[in-house]
Amino acid sequence: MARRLIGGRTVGWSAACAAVLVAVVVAVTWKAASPLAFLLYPVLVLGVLLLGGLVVLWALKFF
Amino acid sequence: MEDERRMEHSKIEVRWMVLVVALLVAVYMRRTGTITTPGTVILALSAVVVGANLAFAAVLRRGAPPWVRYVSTGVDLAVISVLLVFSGGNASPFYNVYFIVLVSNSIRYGMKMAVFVASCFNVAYVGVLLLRPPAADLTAEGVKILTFWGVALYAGYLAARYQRQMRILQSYEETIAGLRNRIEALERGAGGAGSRSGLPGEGAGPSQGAC
Repeated sequence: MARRLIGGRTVGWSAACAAVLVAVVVAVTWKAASPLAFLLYPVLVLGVLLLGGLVVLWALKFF
Repeated sequence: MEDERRMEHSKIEVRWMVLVVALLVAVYMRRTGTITTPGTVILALSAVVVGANLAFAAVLRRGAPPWVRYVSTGVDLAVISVLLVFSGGNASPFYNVYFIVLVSNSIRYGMKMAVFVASCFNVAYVGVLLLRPPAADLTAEGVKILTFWGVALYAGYLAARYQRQMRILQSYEETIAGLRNRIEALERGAGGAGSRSGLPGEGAGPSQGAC
């Protein structure tokens, strides 16, 4: 069996980080006291996209 | 390079059209009292758009440097944001003009530009909210920004897929053209060899050649 480029442990951490980032997005949207909090969105959205993409591609055996 | 220049020229044409329509709408809404944007602001923004369009056209006459697409998109978003500040902030009827910039650029340039437009919009809209704080809570504004991100990423994904399919189609066309050339060369070679050695050319049957 071919060795995978990214281990299951890394993917597990990535999935956990993606879930935390989604929770932060919800929290920022719900509880923002100032519009400045919305400046976190680019980092959060792109972080979720990258980490989520990594997990999905790993599950599809792309790596 | 030529493609980029053509795309930026089409953006300039679209910018002229949007400017005329937005100007007419702004003047009409000002007369009906829907917006309270000062006439000087409308004129100043129109002058900025006209100046930017002329400047981009002048730059494109010499070539199409890669930075033009980002600068022109940034200028578009900045102008829309200033218009929003002076026409009601988060309740402005001109909010949807952001989507014209997003979709037209994402379709042309793909995912990288979609992320760039969404990031610029994010920062610009936060600026609008700071200058014109909304009356209601901020949750609706956060959802609006997230919706914009969703549209941007989906448009970027569709554009990337379309570009990939176009590249595949182009490679197929090149392969077919190459094969056609090889077939023609083989047929010419076979015809020439046939005439020299007495072998049949195209359309001639084996029995004819044997005779």
